[in-house]
Amino acid sequence: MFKPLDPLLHSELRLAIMSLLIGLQEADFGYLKDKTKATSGNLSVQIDKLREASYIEVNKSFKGKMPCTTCKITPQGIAAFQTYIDALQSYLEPK
Amino acid sequence: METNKFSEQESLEVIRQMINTARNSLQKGIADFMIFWGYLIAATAITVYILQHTLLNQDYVQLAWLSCIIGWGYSIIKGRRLHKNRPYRTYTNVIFGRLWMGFGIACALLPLSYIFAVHRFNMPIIWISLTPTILLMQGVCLFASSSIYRFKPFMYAAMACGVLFLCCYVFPWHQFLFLALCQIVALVIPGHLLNKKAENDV
Repeated sequence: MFKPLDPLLHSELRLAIMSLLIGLQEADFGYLKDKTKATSGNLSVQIDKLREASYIEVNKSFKGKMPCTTCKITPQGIAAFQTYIDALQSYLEPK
Repeated sequence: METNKFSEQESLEVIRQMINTARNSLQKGIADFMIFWGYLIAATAITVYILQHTLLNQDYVQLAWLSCIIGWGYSIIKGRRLHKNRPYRTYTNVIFGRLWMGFGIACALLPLSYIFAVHRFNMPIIWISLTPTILLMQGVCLFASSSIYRFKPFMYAAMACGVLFLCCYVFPWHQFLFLALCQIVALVIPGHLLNKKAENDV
């Protein structure tokens, strides 16, 4: 029986963001942009969607005079990621 | 990277790639502290050695260790700069930092407490220092464990070890009482709390 995949995570960029954050305590916008090779606009939109779902926590601050956005995965995000992996396994397991 | 939907296999590949990227990330300048302290301590130790073997008056030779004050100043400034400019923070970075910070605090407290013990009680260092040294090492382990488990009570337990370490020198005749108290406050209570957390997490 296939388990449903979380539509919020089953998108390449959002999944990449979550996969990066699962292994880090926190990461800033520039790092996520560099590693995912996404455009700033697209990344910003996807981060906002994950934040609205409470999967990540977003903090805005300043590094000197430059604005800095830091992202951190939440416990809900970790649980959703785990559920997504479990669901993914049900698709890949041999019948 | 696009936001379009993709297959399960592609999805697994993205997860694998990104987790590997995060795992292999090493922050630029991460080893600067080690290199700096390595040079500083080596230079100071060689200076002390030379002075010990050349000077007739040995009274002030050990003052060369005051060079560590420069080291602490550098570490604080550099640490703040690294903290401010780092693009990401891994759990390994935090544990690495905490472990060495704990070691640094222990290295600062030990000689100071030895000097205090000798001047105040005129007792042989080795006996008066045994129990507090154990408490200090316990504190360093708890300090690092607080990051590994992301469990704050371990941090408070490490602080309790530090306070009881100092108490051992101020009231040396109560050292075993402090040792017992430390085991309750720093091991038994946080141990029960961690077990409770583990049960809730299952």
